[in-house]
Amino acid sequence: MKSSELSKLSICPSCDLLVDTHAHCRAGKVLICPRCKHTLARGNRARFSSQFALALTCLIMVSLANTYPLLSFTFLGIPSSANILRGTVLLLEHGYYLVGFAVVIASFIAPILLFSLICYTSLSLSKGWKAPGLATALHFQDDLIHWSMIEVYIVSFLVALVKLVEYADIDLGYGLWCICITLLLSTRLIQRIEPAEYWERYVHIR
Amino acid sequence: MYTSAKQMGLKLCRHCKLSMSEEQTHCQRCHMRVHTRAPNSLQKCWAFVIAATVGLFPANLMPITVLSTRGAPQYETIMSGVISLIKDDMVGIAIVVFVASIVVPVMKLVGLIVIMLSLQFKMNLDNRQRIVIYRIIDIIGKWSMLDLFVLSIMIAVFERNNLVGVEAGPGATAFGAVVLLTLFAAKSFDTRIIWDKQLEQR
Repeated sequence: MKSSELSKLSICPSCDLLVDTHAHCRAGKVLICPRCKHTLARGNRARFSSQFALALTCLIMVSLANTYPLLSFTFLGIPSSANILRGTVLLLEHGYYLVGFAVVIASFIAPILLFSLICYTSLSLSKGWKAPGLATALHFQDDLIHWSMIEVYIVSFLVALVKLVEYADIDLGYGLWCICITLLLSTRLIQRIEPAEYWERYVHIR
Repeated sequence: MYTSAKQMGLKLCRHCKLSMSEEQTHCQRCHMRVHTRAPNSLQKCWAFVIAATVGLFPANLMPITVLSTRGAPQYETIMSGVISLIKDDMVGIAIVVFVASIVVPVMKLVGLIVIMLSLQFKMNLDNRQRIVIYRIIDIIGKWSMLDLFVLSIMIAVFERNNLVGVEAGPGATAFGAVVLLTLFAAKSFDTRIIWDKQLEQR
């Protein structure tokens, strides 16, 4: 089959169905696989420059979330505060390497790396500039989406908060608001990432 | 009727979603190796599922947190933690913790086992049902990390406290291993083989 014919056909990544996508998906519509209901394409394409802006905001917010404490409280006269990294550092110090690494990757490394990579690839693609290591960055970007677990972290934080309420008065820190904003923005950011679009653009600037 | 790309001698790059003919070994766009189906996907998935099932026992029987009040250590497993939450009148939180750390891992394993057994023994299960089970597994998967995050937050909060101390127990490592193994199991399963079985039967 020739490549010109191939470009008119899509293959569903979830069930391998051959779909004729001759007509392009219109704005505001989604193309859904008739066999397995997997979303094949979205009509509204995100612009790389706006993806860059979103990712940069997420990156700044998540950095702020890591510098300010999530909460601070005084328990029997002993002040204490918690930020995201402190717990994992203690886990690693006590020899719980597997748990420590899993937590630090899902709550710290993966989100920060993901946002940095989206910044890098989106900026490079929107400027039409072939950045070094762009293909590697795109591959890592797609894999990291599954490992960034900010939403789980926020719910965990709420669970911990309810457990702590009975001990003492709690002051919520700025870190918490920063991570909540990160969640809102990153949900939108990740929702609009379509690996195929990034790769199509990548081929054009090569 | 529906035609799979495999029947037409085509395949899709899983990384960049480029269609190509079967003869090509590597994707011309993103340079990755492309397979029509993920190689040995069922075997890999079984291996992860079995390992995770074995890990469930130490994860649930060994203490996941060690609470020490005034020097006396108090060992808490996942279930005893949930029960003590109920006793403290925090039923809502108890349900969240119970669902995230017991129901989700067990459901993921049961779901994957059901899908794989039904494929291998040609049981009467609709493909649509199989993919729905898989998608639910995929979505809920990361929520079992919840208990480990709670643990890390609690450890940080009680770091410099002489009266109450929170530490991880050996069950935490087992539980972490179960969570990671179930995540890998779901990722290693290639959903496209669900429809391949249907093709063979015709």
